[in-house]
Amino acid sequence: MNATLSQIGDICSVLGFFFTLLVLMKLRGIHRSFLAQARLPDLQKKIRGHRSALSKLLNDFSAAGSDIEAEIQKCHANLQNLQPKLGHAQAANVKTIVAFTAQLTRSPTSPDKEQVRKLYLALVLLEEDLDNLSEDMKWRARE
Amino acid sequence: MTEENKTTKAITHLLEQTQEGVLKWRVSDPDNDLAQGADTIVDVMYVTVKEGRVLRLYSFQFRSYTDEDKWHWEDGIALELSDPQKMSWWRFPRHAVIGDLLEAVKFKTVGVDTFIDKLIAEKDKPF
Repeated sequence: MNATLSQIGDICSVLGFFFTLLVLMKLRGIHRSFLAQARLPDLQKKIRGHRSALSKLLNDFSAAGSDIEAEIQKCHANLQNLQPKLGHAQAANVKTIVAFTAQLTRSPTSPDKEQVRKLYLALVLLEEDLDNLSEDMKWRARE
Repeated sequence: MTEENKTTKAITHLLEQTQEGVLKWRVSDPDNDLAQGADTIVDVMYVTVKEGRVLRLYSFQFRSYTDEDKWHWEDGIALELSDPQKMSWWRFPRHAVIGDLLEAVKFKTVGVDTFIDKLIAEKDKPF
């Protein structure tokens, strides 16, 4: 009988451990979602600004000079800020763009037109992704 | 590829060709169907021909009604496609890149880059 009670106790503590892990994961999710709701609109606006600035610089790329590098650096910083506030799927997408902007900012040569175009398109697609995410968040908040 | 991505790529392609000077746009007065009305105002229209289709791009202001007698002006940008006879127009869905396209078209059509180049050349010229 004693052995059986101790076995039940063992099972309960193992289950309790997994339950604690589950609660921790849920808490992390709630924390991330709360942070995203608070910061996403501002960061979306900033990403929109970088996309628009890159497009204007591409209108006269040869005259853009160091403005391009400065814009990419600012964009890199804001993308890094955005990444931890997103869920796995969107964060993975942002991570790829961050890796690309890091490569461009670390490079000893100025980025060429094709690289800037590639970044521009990535920001356009990210913007669509973020628009969808904020719509989803609005619906989740209503539930 | 989703419909949304296809539209994005198509408009981005138009933007790239405009920025590269491959696709030339011209300034035009608004077509009859866009002629100034009480609810919508179009000042300038930009037109080009691509793959035998006419494309027109313009910014407009429209009255947005919140009640029967309450309204305010809102801004919009439209990119539309038609056959050569301009019989009917199909409007691209609202998209952020259309705003960038309009900026690029204005920049190239008004000749901002050549104007700036000429100003710089004039400044560098010895008296």
